[in-house]
Amino acid sequence: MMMKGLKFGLFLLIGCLWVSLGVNTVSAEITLSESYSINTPNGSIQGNQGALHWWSYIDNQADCENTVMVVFPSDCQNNGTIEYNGDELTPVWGANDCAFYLVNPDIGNYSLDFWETTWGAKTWSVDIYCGVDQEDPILQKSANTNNHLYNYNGWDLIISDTIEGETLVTLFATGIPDISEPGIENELCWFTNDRYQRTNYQIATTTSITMSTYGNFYYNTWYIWVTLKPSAPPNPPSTLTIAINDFDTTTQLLHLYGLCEQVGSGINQMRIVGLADNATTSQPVLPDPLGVGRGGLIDCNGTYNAYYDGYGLTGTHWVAIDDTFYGTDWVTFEQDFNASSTPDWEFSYGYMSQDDPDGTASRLACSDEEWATPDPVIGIDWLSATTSVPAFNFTKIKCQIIKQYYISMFSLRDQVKSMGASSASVLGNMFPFNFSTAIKNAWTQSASSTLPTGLEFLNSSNASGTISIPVTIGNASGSVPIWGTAIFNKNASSTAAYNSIRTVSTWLIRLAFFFLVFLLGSKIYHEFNQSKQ
Amino acid sequence: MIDILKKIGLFSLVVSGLVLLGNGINAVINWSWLVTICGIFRAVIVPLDFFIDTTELISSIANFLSILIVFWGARGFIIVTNYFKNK
Repeated sequence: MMMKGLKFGLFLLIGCLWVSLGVNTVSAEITLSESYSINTPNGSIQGNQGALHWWSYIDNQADCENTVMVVFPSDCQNNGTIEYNGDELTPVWGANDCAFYLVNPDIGNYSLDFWETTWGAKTWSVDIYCGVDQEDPILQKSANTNNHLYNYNGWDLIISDTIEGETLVTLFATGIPDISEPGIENELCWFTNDRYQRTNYQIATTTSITMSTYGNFYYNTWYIWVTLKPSAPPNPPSTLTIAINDFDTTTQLLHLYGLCEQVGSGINQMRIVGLADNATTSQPVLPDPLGVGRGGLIDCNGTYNAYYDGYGLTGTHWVAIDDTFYGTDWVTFEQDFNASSTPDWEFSYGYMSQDDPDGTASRLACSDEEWATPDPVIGIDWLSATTSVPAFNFTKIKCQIIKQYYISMFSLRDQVKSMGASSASVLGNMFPFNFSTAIKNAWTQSASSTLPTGLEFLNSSNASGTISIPVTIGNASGSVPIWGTAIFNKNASSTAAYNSIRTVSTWLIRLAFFFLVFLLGSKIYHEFNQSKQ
Repeated sequence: MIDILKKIGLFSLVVSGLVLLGNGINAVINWSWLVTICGIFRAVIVPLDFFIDTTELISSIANFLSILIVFWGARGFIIVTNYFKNK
């Protein structure tokens, strides 16, 4: 029996290695997240036609949620098509083949091929940006002079701009303290005499940007890609103000994601505030998970406890979020507005005490209007001839009684919880349950602990369970996956197959659990029967 | 009445003894090695996750261990009560 098991294990190992080496001859695993650069190592291309291959691997849909952008910052003379795993990238209009993007890239291995028509050796530098957050990253603008103010308060963003103009067209961006690429000063894009088209992009960590355009132009494409992933969560409370002004479209969708990744470290509240009083114009349309009048803002983990006060654009909308959750979700804003409206939205997140029995009881007991009624006065103010003083404001009395009821219930709840916690603490330390408690605590602690140096090799897999080994082929270096889903080319059918296997194994585990529980129950039953006899 | 009081007293004695024993064990044993073992288990099980729901597996094992501990506890309780019954 043991020999059979060993043979099967050996066969499985050899099979996996064969598949791995066959599929990934040259493979570099790159986890796409936020933005990063790939500098092709001495990637010289000789001849009039060349192709530079490298492989990247998107192992998580959330890593590259909806758009990948490929930029050649140092040389924009390449011609031909850029393909990403067989999908042709769309060139950024007017970018002289310097920038390309692909919306909704699939999970899987990618090769980026392009063709060079000039002779000579070159060193190519390619930047790939991922994790951009607008479903349609193009915000088209065809009007004349306009100012656009973007306040990002230290969040990373990528700006790309293309202008085609007839006369002097200038676009300024001010207030950018830190520009990492490609070294352009404060100006973003400029004019040509006849037709101006040029695209530049910047990555900026900035507090605010004001972009102004002057002159006549008939085509202007804006790319504002906000990653919303600062390198470290700023100390709360922090605000992110996004101003979406003056766009000509009647409905503008702004998709942001990654907000929930800021959750953690005790941040338990997010807020959206309508800054501009826009009550006379159209109300915003805030679909799920944002909902005016629906009380739900951000669904970070499937369950949320949210409430809001206020209504409409000037309202303040709070969401309580699980401060232990760490993940990614979408926040979608759909804003109806016209040229006359200038709605601004402000995001905040930070701490807010959720333990406010008095305030909670007040809100549960009565509405603000009811609480705003006069206090009950026992007796009649005979001296006040002109003021009518209510002897009994039953509304307020009712509110006070209900509020006291809730407060007493909260107190009782806390007492019961405290007793339960004490009992659990005592029982958890009682032999033999102390072993169970110790195992549970150890398991929890192991999530954040590191293995001893001698055992670190066990951590060879990444978060998705892929085990890779480093390889160097020529001047290129990378890693080859030898275990995990990365050993196969991912597509819809392979993903479905993995999911099916996982589902079957889940039900097998459940079946085994119930079978063992049944056996144990049977044993207990017989032992009790024997002890009775 | 006295029998009931005796049983309550016996039960309290046994529970107090077990709590003392559990606390004594916790004080004597350094559980940090258990964290390392759990860490090893975590590292080993992650690569299986793409075809086995390891979360389900771990929770099932943990639930079964808990049931097993309750079973042993109940068995011990039966032994103790039988001992006092026969006295």
